[in-house]
Amino acid sequence: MEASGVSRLNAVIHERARLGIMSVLAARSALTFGELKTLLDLTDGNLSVHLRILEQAGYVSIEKKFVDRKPQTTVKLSKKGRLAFEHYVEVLEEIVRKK
Amino acid sequence: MTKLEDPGSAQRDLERIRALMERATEWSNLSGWSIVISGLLAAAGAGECFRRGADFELPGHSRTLGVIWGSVFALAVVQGVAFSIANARRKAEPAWSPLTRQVVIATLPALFTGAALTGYAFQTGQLDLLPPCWMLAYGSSLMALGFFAGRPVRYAALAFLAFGAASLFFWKEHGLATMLASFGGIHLVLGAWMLWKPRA
Repeated sequence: MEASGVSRLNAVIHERARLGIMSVLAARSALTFGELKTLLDLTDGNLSVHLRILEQAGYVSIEKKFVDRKPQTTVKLSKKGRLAFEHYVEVLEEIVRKK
Repeated sequence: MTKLEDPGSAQRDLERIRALMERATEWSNLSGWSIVISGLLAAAGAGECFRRGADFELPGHSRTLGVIWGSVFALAVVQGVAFSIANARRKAEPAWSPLTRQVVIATLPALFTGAALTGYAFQTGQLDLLPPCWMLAYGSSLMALGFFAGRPVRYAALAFLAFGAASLFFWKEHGLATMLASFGGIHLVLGAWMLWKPRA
């Protein structure tokens, strides 16, 4: 059994853009698509792709509604997603401690 | 990204996570222009008081002072909210977001303290307490806002608190001058700084 860092790091979260998405959602719980785009400097297409992967993993939920007759997409971190993120950070901290 | 057993990469990832989490809680809808306008409104309020001879330490001016500074406060709040909403719309963000709600909740207790002390000062006729009370309460509120809106706001909050304390102990007889210097001057400096060096 590989006890090294990468083997224990969650592959879904490990990708740079998705780690960014999970980090900002861990701080704010819910963010609009526009806020995520601005915070992470991602394109619409790129952000959509990564959100779909996180949604399929059950880490985020995506809600679409109309606000002032304009479509608005809100992304929320799920409980499963928060636990996975917290575990991911714990693993990173463990790797650093082993230095 | 983190490589196999690479503490350096893991450390960098942790730092990036921390930086992103901090950035996510930054409230960037505060407008430099609205702060400048607040400063100008305060200066106009002080000017109008000087013109009418309504000073905080002189008796018989409670109504005039109440009307003038009440109007200044109301106009400052209205334009501040309007600028914040405009900023949020420009960024295609909801004006009343969860973060905005947190900002409001964080700043309200200090403003409530200021309102209660204002009522007490008017009730007991101790109007010379108003400028220091307003500066101290507003400075406390601004400090709370500064944890969402950035370091310059926290520096301005410290300036308000220092002015308020000095005003309470040493400058109570210079109420209008301290109002002009603090609510006028500090706002103008902070607003100009924010316009000069806007945050991303």
